[in-house]
Amino acid sequence: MDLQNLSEMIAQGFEDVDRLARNMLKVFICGSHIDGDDKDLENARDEIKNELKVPGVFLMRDIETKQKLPYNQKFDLVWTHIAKGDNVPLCIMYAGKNAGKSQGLNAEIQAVSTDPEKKASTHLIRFEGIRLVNHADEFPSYHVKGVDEFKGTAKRLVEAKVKEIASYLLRQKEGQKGRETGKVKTLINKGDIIS
Amino acid sequence: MTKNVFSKMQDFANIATDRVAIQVFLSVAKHKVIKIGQLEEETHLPLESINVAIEKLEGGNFVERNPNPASQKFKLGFNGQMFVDQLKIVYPELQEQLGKESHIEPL
Repeated sequence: MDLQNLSEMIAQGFEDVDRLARNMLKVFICGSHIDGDDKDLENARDEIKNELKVPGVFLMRDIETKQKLPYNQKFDLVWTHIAKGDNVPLCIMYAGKNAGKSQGLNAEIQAVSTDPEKKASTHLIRFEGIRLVNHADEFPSYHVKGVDEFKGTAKRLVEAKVKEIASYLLRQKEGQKGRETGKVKTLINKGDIIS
Repeated sequence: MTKNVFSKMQDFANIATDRVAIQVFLSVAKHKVIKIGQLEEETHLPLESINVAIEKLEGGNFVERNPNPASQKFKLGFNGQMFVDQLKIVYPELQEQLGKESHIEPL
C-alpha cells in the first residue's frame, strides 16, 4: 500500500474518537530504576501499550539525550519538548520498593513540584512505607502494596485520562455537527440535576 | 507561549483526521529532511494544500523547518517523531514505507 492510501486509511481511522484519544495521549512513566524497579517500569509500559491500545507510552530512558544529563534535568528537557506539541501528556511517577535509595527520583519529585504545568499532569504511585522528600506529599498519590497494584493503578489513571479526552472530543464533534445542521444539541436541560 | 490543552486536543484531531496533512507528515517522516518542491512531487498535491498542511503540522510540532525559520526544508519535530513511532505500532504496513527503526532522535 502506498503512502497516499495509507494516509487515507489513517485519517479515516481517527474519525473514531476513542482511537483518537488513545493516540493523543503521551504517557511518561518515570521512577526509580534501582534493582527490580526497572523491570516493573518496563512491564507497565508494555502492558499499557498492548492492553489499553495506547501506543504513546515512554520510559525516560526510551528518550536519549545528546549529552548525559542528571535525571531531573533530562526530565525537564523532555518536558520542554513535549509541551511544544499537540498532545496530552500524563506523567506517572513510580516510587517502587527501592525508591528510598534513589536520589534521581527524589530530585525529580522536587523539580516537578516547583513547576505548576508539570505538576498538574503528574501522579505519584508509591509503595507503602517508602520514604520520599516532603514535596512528594504535594502530588495526587496512590499507595500500593505490590507491583500488580502499581500496574493496575497506572492503567486506571491512563484509562481515566483517555475517557476525559474522548468525552471532550465527542462534545466538540456534537457541537460541530450541530452548527453544520443548525441543530445544536442541548447538553444540559432545564431541571437536570448537576452534582 | 504554549497552547492550552483544549486547543491542543482540537488541533491534534484536526491534523489526525486530515488526509492531506497525514500524507504530508508521512512524506516528511519517510525522507527525514525534505524540501517543499520534493513534497510536491512526492504527494502530487497542489502547493497551496501542502502549505496549509505544513502550517497545521508546524503548529503542533509534528514537523519543523530545518534549520532556520525561513527554510523551505522540513523535518519531524519531537512530537512528530513520537507520533510516527506510534503509527508504526498501530499500522504495521507503515514499517515497509518508513523503516522499522525508531524515528525518535536524541534531544
